Amino acid sequence: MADAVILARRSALAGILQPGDHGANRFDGPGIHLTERTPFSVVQIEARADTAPALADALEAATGTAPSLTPNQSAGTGRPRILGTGTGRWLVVEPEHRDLAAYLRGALPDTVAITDLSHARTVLRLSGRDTRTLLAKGCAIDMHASAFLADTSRMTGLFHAACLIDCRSAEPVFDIYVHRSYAVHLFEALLDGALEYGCRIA
Amino acid sequence: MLYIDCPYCGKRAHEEFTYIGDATKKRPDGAEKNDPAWVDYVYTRDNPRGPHLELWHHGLGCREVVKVLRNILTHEILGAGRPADDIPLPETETKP
Repeated sequence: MADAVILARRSALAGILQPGDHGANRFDGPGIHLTERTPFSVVQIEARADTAPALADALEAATGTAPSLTPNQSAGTGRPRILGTGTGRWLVVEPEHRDLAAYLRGALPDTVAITDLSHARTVLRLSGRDTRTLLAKGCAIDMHASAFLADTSRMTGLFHAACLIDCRSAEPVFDIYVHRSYAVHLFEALLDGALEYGCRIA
Repeated sequence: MLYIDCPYCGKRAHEEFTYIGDATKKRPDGAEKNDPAWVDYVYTRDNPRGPHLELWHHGLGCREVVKVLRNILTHEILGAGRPADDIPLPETETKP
């Protein structure tokens, strides 16, 4: 980590994400809470479908978290959290506190493709009572609490941008992973949709 | 709205997918020098009034290729699976 200073990231939302209260001033408080999670490590690991169970075992040994082989099922409490994004493909994510990609490269077999996406993704955290309604404005999948359960994730389109939506808890709390270059578009769409509920940005 | 039952993601709206093409065409061997075989692979397509096997790409989801059985006349999605799956193609045409 000698290069930590050089690698310091500039958020794609720097200067755009303005902390404070936006939109409706509701008597019961803002319906949406929005923050950016940064710095954040996002590493994609991928193996051939037939070696996926072996990779899952190796990943559990390396990180202490067993990835789920069931599609759309998240695993882990956050250090790290492992999200399935396709057959034999996962994202390993955690708040940045080490060079996660280098660590996984050392811990996993050579046959596994490991790609550091930390610089390529922006992670937004949405919470608050109107979060599911807000997400439903820009997304065709069922956001109801009985359909989108805690500890499940979905790859889908949100306001036309390809996203990974991870339901951290049923409160609800959602983490949204979006390609960095679409972060401004997604943030503006989310903020616009959240104005009627009141949006507190931290 | 059409819903395609993606083998990885589950049931998703067709807007997440991009149409690729006919799933019944098999690419000739690379050493194939016979032009008609390539013409058939590249250009010749049936236009059945009824069920049709086709490939869709789940671009806004798992980014995998999905094999879909769709009725071209009614747009009904009759089945979906992985590209290697054997999805039986009904021979019947749909009467308008």
